[in-house]
Amino acid sequence: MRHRLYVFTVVLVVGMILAWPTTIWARTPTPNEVEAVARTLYCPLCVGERLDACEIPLCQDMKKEIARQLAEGRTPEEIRAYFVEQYGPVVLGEPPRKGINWLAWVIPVIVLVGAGAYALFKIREWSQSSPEPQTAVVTDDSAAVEDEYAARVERELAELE
Amino acid sequence: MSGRKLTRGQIIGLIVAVVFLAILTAGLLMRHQGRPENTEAPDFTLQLYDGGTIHLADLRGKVVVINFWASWCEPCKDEARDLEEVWRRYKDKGVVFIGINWSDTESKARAYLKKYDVTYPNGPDLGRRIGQMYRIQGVPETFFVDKKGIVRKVVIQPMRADQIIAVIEQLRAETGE
Repeated sequence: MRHRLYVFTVVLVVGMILAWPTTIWARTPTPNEVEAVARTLYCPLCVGERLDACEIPLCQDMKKEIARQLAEGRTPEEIRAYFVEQYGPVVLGEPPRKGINWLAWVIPVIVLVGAGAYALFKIREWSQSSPEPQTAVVTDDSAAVEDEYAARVERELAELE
Repeated sequence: MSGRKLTRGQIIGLIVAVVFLAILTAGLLMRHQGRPENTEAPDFTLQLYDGGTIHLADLRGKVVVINFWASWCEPCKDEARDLEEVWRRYKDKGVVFIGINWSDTESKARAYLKKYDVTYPNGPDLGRRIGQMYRIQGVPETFFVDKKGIVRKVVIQPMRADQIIAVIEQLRAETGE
């Protein structure tokens, strides 16, 4: 009898725990966790302002939404996808890498590579066409001067004798 | 004229520069295109907060008032009750109001609709696509579409009930009602 009562109590307690609203399992995210997601998003109304640094009412609401969704167990990736759906790719701070938007990624690379190649080509062209560097011909006359001087001294000494 | 010939590299560089500038110019022109006025209203389908959808093209033959708003927008609050008042007055007279919630969060938007007792169809501008089509710069902005589907008036400030009624009456009168 006592054993049955024990089993019944355990089943009842476990059943109550499982039946409890699931919200009690929801964990309140820390400010750091909210900030970490906010750092990867941009304000849809401001120009290039990151969400974690933005103080306008919409940004405040978005941060609360991040906290709410983190508490529900959504991953940062899912939260980012949610905001892109709500506000468009502007919240990612960069054009999406698809369709004509690829031009925004490809053109700067093409321009850089093209400019680099052109500069290299030009440098090589200049280095090939420039005349031979004129080397200064240093003529050391000092020895000749010295010889002439010595000869003159010799001559004058001979005259004195 | 010196008649100096361009090298192949210079020609390619020139073509790349021209294409790049053309793309840049087209982008800038598209960005600075004005709001649609006296042209056909861009068509859209809006998912409503209370379920269902509303498709603008299905409303031909009715005067449509499209209002862009947000819960964080103070001027929007000034006109919220006026819009609702006029909607209740005209809802059975061939006039449709559509509220488009722009750059907002759903929970705040729903609270706003409840607070101001807004009953006309409302939904979020997902991805801000409708706002882009209408070239809105902020909120509130209100577009009046006539029975033929042409945007006849754009107002980019909060409106009072009498102002909304004046535009609606003008559009209804033009179509013989």
